[in-house]
Amino acid sequence: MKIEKTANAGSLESSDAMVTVGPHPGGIEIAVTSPVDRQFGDRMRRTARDILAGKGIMEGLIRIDDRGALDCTLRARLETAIERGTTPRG
Amino acid sequence: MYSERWIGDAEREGAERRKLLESLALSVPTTDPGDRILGIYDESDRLVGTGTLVGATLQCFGTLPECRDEGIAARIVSALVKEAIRQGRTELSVFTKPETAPVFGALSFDLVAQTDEVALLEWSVAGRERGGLASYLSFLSAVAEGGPDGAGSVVVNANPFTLGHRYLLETAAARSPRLYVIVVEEDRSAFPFDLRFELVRAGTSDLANVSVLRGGAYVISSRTFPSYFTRDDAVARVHAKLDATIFAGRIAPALRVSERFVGTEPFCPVTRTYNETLKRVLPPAGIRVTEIPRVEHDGEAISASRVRELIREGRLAEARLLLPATTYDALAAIESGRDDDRRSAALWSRITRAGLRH
Repeated sequence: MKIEKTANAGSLESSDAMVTVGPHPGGIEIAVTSPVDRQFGDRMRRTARDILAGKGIMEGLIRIDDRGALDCTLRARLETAIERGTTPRG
Repeated sequence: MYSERWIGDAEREGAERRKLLESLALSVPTTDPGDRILGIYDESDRLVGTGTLVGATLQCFGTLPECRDEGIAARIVSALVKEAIRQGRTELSVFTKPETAPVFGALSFDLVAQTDEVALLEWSVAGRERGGLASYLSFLSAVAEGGPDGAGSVVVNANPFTLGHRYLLETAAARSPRLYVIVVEEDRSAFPFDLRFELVRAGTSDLANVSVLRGGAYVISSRTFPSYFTRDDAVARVHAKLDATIFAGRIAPALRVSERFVGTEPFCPVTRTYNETLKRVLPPAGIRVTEIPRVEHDGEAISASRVRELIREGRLAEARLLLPATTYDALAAIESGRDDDRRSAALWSRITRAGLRH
């Protein structure tokens, strides 16, 4: 499976995260911007990788713009954005 | 609690938005039907904030002073970014006042450049290390790898490539260890980018130290210099300065360029303003600006706009005197092919259509 189209979920509001996904032939790229990137950046990247792996997605860009989201919020945003990015139409 | 909705054109909301922007001493540009204008409303349905998506650019932000620090900016930017993504865009930019740039910085936008009047920030789905300006600069650095310090540069639209451009590039190449010719990539000219680029390359292939490069989104593009392509001369000066600042601070260092050559501009006021701006902005950054007088034919400066006019009037044979053989041959082939193949027909009709500015 791969990300077919640009899509996103969430927002840039405080305590939320905006996750944007897009096509990326050749692998997975994850970019994170966060005020707490140094403490939690790697954890957010791992969360994203876990969710992608769980869905069997091998190709795609994932951009996480974190505004201090809890892990459960981030997961929900990732799930939704990936869902939207892998749905062929709509 | 706030609510948000898109503001239609003819509604009372349009007038409310105008009032809000004016109360903040912000200009209210005319909007096109394709623009998406967002409004944020409070419980009594009063407009407290607004922002507009124009193509891939977020602009025209305003929030009531008493409602700042309440996350309204985040809300506006979120909605505009999501709308842009919905439209399939992957690279976004923000035009704003320099004092407001930090607000967008906190919302994940990265500063490209700023002047005393305007700041340009960007956001790319590929992330700040791989998308946008970073990706263009790594392309330039790769081109310049192993190249000399103190290179020269010329930016051309070449719509199309004339003997005037040829003279400018030949003169500049003779004075530089290496000359980077950057072709404006924005596809809003009579001649499509691919053809303009190809004609510049063909017309300079005998000059060993010339490299022809695409301008990307950062050299006279709709991102850095939107007014170049419209008729909004009033803001052209502001955009010219931003474009010059990006060249001085980002592009020239990546190519190790220390001299920029321009042709004197006898006709176009926007280009003249641009040249004047380059002369003010580049030298303090250690980049010389050298103006080369236009070459003339029959007492008149050779210009691409004159060539386009002749072509439109069906006088390609006269245009020939203003064109290098490479350009003339390509044009003649398109003209003679226009009855036989679709590509030539489409090209010819685009080239001969009037009304495009550069």
